[in-house]
Amino acid sequence: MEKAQLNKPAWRLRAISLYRWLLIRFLNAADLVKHLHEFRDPIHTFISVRTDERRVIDSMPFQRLRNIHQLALTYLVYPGATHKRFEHSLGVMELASRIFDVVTNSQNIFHDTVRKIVPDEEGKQYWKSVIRMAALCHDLGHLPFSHAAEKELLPSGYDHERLTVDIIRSEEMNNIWTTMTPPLRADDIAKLAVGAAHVAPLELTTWEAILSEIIIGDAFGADRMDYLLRDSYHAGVQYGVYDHHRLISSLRILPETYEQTDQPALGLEHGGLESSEALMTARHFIYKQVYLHPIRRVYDIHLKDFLRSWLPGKRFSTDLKNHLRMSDVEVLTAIRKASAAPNSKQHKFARRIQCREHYHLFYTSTPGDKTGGKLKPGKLRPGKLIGDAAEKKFGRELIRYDYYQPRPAAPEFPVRTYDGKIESSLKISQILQRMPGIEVDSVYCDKGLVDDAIKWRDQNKPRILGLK
Amino acid sequence: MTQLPYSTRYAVILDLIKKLRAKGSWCGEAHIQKAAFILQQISKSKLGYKFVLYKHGPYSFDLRDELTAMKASEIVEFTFLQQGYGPSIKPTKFGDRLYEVNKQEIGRYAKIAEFIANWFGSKDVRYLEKVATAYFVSCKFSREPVSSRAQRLITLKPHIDLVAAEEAIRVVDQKREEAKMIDRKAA
Repeated sequence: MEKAQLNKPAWRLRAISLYRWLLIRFLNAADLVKHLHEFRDPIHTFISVRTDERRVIDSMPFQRLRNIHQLALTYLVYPGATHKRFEHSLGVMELASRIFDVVTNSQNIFHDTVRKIVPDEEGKQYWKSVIRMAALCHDLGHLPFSHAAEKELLPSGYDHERLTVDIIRSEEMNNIWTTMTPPLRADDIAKLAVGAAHVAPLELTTWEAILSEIIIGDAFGADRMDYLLRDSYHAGVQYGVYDHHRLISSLRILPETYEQTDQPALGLEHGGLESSEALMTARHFIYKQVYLHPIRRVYDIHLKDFLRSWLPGKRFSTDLKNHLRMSDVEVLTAIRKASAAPNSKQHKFARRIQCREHYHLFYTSTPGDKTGGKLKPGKLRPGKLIGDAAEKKFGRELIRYDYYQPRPAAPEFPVRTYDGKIESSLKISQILQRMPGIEVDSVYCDKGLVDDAIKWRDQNKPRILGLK
Repeated sequence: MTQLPYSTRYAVILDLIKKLRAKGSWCGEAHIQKAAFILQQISKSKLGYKFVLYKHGPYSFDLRDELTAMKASEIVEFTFLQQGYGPSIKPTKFGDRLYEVNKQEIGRYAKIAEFIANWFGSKDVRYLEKVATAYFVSCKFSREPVSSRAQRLITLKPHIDLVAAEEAIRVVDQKREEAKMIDRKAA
């Protein structure tokens, strides 16, 4: 079905789109069709879409997200975490839409510099459609198993955001954008979906940058809001829960006067500060307990080993047709086959996943390992030094090193205090100010080696790290 | 081009922070972002940060993550000194130790950091936004005359007026010439 869709010549796709558009117009005029459609959702109860938006959901690139696990192989540790990018994307659209309504409500705008950038009613209608579609499509470029293997298995310069942009601009999607009401520009959707960091050479205006923040921002992006709630729900943990209703209702566009400029940014009323603190702490705990769980992380490593051996050229294809054909289903099938075939080149890698023969953690760095004793190059990642030495001792194949660079724990944003002044969030929130970053710097070894590796670690760590 | 090892990158950033602070800079993230952008442009360095136009002009998400990693490793700390201002970034004692161990690695970047600190040290974010964006435009459209680059600048930053934009482009042209001399000497 997918292949057939892709092989259709462009003129046929255009003709089908035009036919659908005319049919919908006719049925609308005759008032014969339902205009709003609802999805039941465990997090947001109901998510509504218009008929023309449903065409995006029904498109092949979006339907593919039904087969991309939101949390890769996390379900091997938290069995409930089998949810997919499909429902997450719907959730992000719903939240982005709610946030847009709050921050563009004229009663919530207090500064002339903000009034200047918020468009008139017609403009708002256009940008609301754009932000909904950008939120819906922000994950279209994800590889099988989401982030698990992205960095190492794509050619240099590629990431899932770049693939997302390519899909949004593809002919199939462009045929939908141009026949929506109002018609949308693919570049506007792309800019908001992936943000300034990934859409060069296109540049974002201040308004577009704020809308993009609404979707993917570090502080209160709808993406983050949804994944915390949804991942907690499915993983069966309570860490990601916070009062998102309160948070959304207190979001505002505010000038960053504490940076000595009037440039507007997405910020918050003082009354919502506790909700944002709760979001940041929720994020901290769910990262520690779920996303960076050591066994979950080692499954990512085993998956990468498998894919590197299985994929032609050891990398995912960046050709859109090939990309859209590949989902978790194809990879899981290959893992099952290889684990049952002793002669397969991928047999041992597949067994580590399929038969739970995963590696075990035997070293994770502590602050004292970094700062103690003599400082030397590379000392900031003690795990790397231990991992390199362990490879020499036990052999490369039996050791795996894992590093995760900390992301901003609590981003800075403007807060409108009770007296109407604007302050930096980091200035007025002790909690945000002290929020620790999370780093992973760990070494794993083959299951059969754990006791020896721990003994070796205890004997050799002071020498390797130059500790006193 | 291979990126410099992270310990050398950290040392370059620490050096820049120290020099900016010595010249009286508030040294918030915006100051470091703009200064690092100019440093990377002048030295055509292997720092490897990708800059795009974002918060107050050129901005690197890689550098933001690097500063976060440095904070998590207690190499830098954020301090809050004055009402109405954002955080100021400064090296910790451990950061100072790390800098001492790695400072011989930073070579030519030290001279350029000094040049930037002299230029930026006493300036506020409004000024940095203007000249750093002017620098961004001038690097991208180096063959265009002042007036057309100024037009581009005000298209990107509508709150900057044309006269100020032209002035910023001229300052940048002059500083780019000076920077070439500094880089040649440093190399």
